[in-house]
Amino acid sequence: MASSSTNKFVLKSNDDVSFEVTEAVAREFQVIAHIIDDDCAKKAIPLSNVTGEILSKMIEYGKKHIEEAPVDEEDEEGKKKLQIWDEEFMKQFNMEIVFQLILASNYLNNKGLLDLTCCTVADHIKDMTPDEVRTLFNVKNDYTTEEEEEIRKENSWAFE
Amino acid sequence: MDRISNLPDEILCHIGSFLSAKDAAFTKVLSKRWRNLLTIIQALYFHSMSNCGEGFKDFVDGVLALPASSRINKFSILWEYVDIDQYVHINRCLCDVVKRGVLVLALKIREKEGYSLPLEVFTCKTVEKLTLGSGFTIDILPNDASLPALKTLFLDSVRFSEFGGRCAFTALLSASPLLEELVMDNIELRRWKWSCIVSSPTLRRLTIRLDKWLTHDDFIAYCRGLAYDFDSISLDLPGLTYLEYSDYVPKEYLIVNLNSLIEAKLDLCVDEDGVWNERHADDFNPMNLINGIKNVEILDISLETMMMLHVFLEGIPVFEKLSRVSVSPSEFCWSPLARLIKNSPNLKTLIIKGHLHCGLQVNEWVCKCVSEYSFLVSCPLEVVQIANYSGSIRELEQMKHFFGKLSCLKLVRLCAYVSSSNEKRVMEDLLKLRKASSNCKIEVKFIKLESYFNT
Repeated sequence: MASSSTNKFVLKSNDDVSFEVTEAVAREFQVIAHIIDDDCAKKAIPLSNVTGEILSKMIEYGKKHIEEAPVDEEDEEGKKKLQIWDEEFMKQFNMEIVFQLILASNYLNNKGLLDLTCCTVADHIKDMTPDEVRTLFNVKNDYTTEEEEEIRKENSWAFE
Repeated sequence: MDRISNLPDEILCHIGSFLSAKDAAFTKVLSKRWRNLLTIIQALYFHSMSNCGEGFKDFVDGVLALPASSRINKFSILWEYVDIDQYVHINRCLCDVVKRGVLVLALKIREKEGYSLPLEVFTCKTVEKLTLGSGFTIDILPNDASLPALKTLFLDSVRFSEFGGRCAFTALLSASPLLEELVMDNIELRRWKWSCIVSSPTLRRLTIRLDKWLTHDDFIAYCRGLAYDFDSISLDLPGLTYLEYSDYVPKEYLIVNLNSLIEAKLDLCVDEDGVWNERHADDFNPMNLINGIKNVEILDISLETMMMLHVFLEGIPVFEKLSRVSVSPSEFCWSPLARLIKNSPNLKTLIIKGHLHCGLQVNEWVCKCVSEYSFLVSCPLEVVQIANYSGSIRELEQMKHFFGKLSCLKLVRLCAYVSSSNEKRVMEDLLKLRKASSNCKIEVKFIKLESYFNT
């Protein structure tokens, strides 16, 4: 059997875009790793919940994290480099894409990307008023004015 | 489209696990769905007076068992007689708490030996107020140290050291880009291994307080001991508005950048008794510091600082903006105070936190050091406060000069310790004095000697 660096798999998005990736990159996504382990990966692996646009970004992330993986726990410089790359990587996306990446990394089970994307959303929420957060993320306020006043009162320490 | 609310609860909670307790509280008003999504624990304390660690392990296990999305607002461990066996649990707990969006974090233990803070404390993104103590040394910070939300830092009996040629104290200040207030209690700057530079562009309030007689097991530790190898300190704090500084002085202050300073409170000692004398002028030069604070508006100087200024009398600069000065002079010579008042063309308020200085010889009512209070003539003082007045003839003699020479005087406020039978006489004596100012009020608060001795 070929090694994981030469062994290739094809990942197929729900809009029929195919990506050929090495086994190592494919294994960055836990769900795909299971499919490979179960020997069900003979042909292209169909991913019904992910579009080609999102999948290409996820593969880019996976590749980078394989190629530039820190040597070991002590490799502070390697970790730092990858962290900087992660930050730059996230900057290119609007929130709509970030949400799709969250759902896809949750679905394909890549903890690193899930943390990165969720952290990006958390950073967006930071320092915003609730109204701004609602506007940005389009959350419908289903409280009555009285109810909202009540909640604000309960959490007044945070609104000071 | 309600994008964020379309995500499953599990993912919303995961997003929540990156929020500070404050931001998590904000999310509760977004919509009904968000109301109970994230749990916020207002305060989690472990305070113990005993060295019994039984309950502590349960406490730590309880903290660690909380769901990852649970946020903690305030967390503290106050445990004076902590056993060394507990250090590992304390650190396990701190490492968990710094990931829970904590805003206020306090660790006060009395270190016995070998306690090191977990490095994770120095990468906490959310902590705004951090209290650390006591007795341990901070000798290393991680390379990615970053406390981007830290505004207030309290350090009690903490020492700093160097790591890989870097000063841990400097690294801590550099990692705190929003730091506004730094309080250092019972610290012994002269015993640190450090850069001897206090530098921060954002710091507004700095308190360095050496409590000489309390809280430490080892009194010897407070004697200056290493008198002459504490060479210098630099204070590069361009945004500082408040400085409270009580410590032994180094030989000199190399850089003093305190250009925004408004208020300074100085208690500068040279040895364990705080006794400055002329021979110290050969080894110490603290006047760079005094020059560096000459733009203050409010100044409070201790007896020790007065004694220091007496040694460096000729170096006292002009305090152009000084409007209020407080002193605790007692029996000590007033020549530095006289010089200070003379050098403060805009001084409005003088607060004497003790009693007036009278002549020490039998027939000398006014001490030579004030040269007949000539420095009060043409002085713009409007308010004089004296904390301890007993109405003696000697004190009245001093008051005669204050009233007779201060032409702008509007208010004299005295706290008088006299027996009830003497109150009337004391008041009349004061009213009889000739006043250079036509509208000067006298306020006397009588503290009855009887009740004073009874309490």
